[in-house]
Amino acid sequence: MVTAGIDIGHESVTVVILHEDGTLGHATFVISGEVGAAAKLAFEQTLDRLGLERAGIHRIFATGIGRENVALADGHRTPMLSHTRGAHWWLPGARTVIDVGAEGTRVMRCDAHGTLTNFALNDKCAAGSGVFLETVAGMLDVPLADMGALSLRGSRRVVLTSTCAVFAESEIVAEIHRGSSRADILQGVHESVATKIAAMSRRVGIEADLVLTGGVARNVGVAQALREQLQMDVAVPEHPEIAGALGAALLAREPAGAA
Amino acid sequence: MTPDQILEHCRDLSSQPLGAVAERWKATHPGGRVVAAYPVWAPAEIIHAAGMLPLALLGGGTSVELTHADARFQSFVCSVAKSSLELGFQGIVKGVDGFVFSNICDVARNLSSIWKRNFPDAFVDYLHLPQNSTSPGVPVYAANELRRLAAGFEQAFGLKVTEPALAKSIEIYNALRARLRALYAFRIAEPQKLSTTDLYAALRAATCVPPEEAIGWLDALLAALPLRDARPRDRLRVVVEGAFCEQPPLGLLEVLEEAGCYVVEDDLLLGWRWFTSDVATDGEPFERLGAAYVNQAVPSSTRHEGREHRSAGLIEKVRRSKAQAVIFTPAKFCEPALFDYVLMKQGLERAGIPHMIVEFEEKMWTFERTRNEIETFVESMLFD
Repeated sequence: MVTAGIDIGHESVTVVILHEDGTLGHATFVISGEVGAAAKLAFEQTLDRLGLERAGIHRIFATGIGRENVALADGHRTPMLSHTRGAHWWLPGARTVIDVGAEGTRVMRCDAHGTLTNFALNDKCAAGSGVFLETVAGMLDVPLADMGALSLRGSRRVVLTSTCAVFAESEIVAEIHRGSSRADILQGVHESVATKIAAMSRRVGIEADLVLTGGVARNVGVAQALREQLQMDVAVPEHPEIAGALGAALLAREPAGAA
Repeated sequence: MTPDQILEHCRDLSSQPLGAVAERWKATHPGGRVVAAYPVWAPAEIIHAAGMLPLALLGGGTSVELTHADARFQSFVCSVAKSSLELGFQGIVKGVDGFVFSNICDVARNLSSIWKRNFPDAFVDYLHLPQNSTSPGVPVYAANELRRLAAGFEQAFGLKVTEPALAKSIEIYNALRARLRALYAFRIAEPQKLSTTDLYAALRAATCVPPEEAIGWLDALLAALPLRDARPRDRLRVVVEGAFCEQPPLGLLEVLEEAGCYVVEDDLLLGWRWFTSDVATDGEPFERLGAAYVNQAVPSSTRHEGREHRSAGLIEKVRRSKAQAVIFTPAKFCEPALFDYVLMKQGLERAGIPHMIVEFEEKMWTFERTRNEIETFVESMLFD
């Protein structure tokens, strides 16, 4: 059985094709225009790349913020359910999953079967999200992809005290004027983001193994700051940004997944 | 009338400002007085027995901007207290002659004094409801407190609450509550035919008219609802608990249902359905009403009950309504609900009943995060 998962994020669409033997094909596209049309285009282009036909896909599930607008999907599941399932497939020992996307952070607990048992989400505060990191990257003129590595060279001289993204930006401007290095500022930013994520995680309860998913998981500075905050290992999949779509594809395999 | 027509009438009634409701009633009852009660429970029977119209003072909902009340409260005070006071400042309760508050929490306790200070011409009474449910003298105390309230009405308005009038009012409110219990029982049996937003419309409208009038259209609704055509869906049956004082925005109730729930029990407008069975019809009526408050009250976070664990009533509600889960919906800053949440959560976990919590404010206007949370909860139970 070949299934597909389509994850509609705030900025991108990710498509995962899951084969019977567990091998994957996946692609991520930046959203431009209407969500349903973007999902359709992304899905068709992914099939083209993999040389597959629509008729060969048994079932398609959508997830993410725009999941209900994906007309080509056979059903949809919430991001928390999908990310948990995707992370657990990648690391069967996972019991806690933290997903940090562009505009929100979610913390999920699951059992040995990857079944969701508890969760919390924070999608209204920018301070613990990817958009905040993008803003900081722009302020410091550092490519987003380089932020993490650069921050690891920081000397822990900058501490951001604000819990609000807007005030944190003011603090960053003050640090720039004070002459703090970009590495130090970025390290402070990542520690600040990790502090907020850790606080939310403790509300849900943290149990090893812990997997970090979502686009922000690619930032090694955030992952490292989180390890230090939580004093435990934080596993990051090879493609953390596809966990939601992967989970949706896995959920589409299940008999109860008709709707 | 069809259920839709009756419910439309209910929505129309409850969408009117409290003062307009009072003035409309007074237009047909010259010289009449209107008294509004702050949640959770107040003896509407006594207001009614004095020949007055009892109404519910339930805050400003989504429609009133706070322009004065914020300056009178700390930032950590719940919305319903602030917006209720704001109704006074904006003249929205003009036409309501009296206000009754009680000791349900520290905020409500002080709201009566704040109200008195800001609106000295209004009749304001603070009802000291008993918190002790086990001492033999408690029903007597409760009856005396109700007599004191009645004496206050007589002094302020010259309207006496006689025992025969109170006995009659008790019968009428027994009849009203019986209809409301029947509506709740119907929703447990056939939730696909009576959504919570519809039930709430009927319940809320019943607080805007004399009970005799509400009984009329509740009977019509109860007769017509079984004829509604609706197919049961694969949804999660839930009990909603925590919105007994500040009322959630309709949008939240809609999201609960759209996200895949059948709400089969709730504690919305709890004070108007306060007694689990009819108040006794024999004996001195103040004593009967006082005894009912002590011995027949629904479990509530605003009334201490030393005879059973706080979660017992909730678990019984889950079992009776054949619910699969509980969704706690405390208002932000609601101390009674949030304190009890811990006890109830522990009780549910011991009983193996899944639960989640969604805080709300009456002026909450965006529900996407809540929808996501509830959908995840529903999906994790139905599909995961």
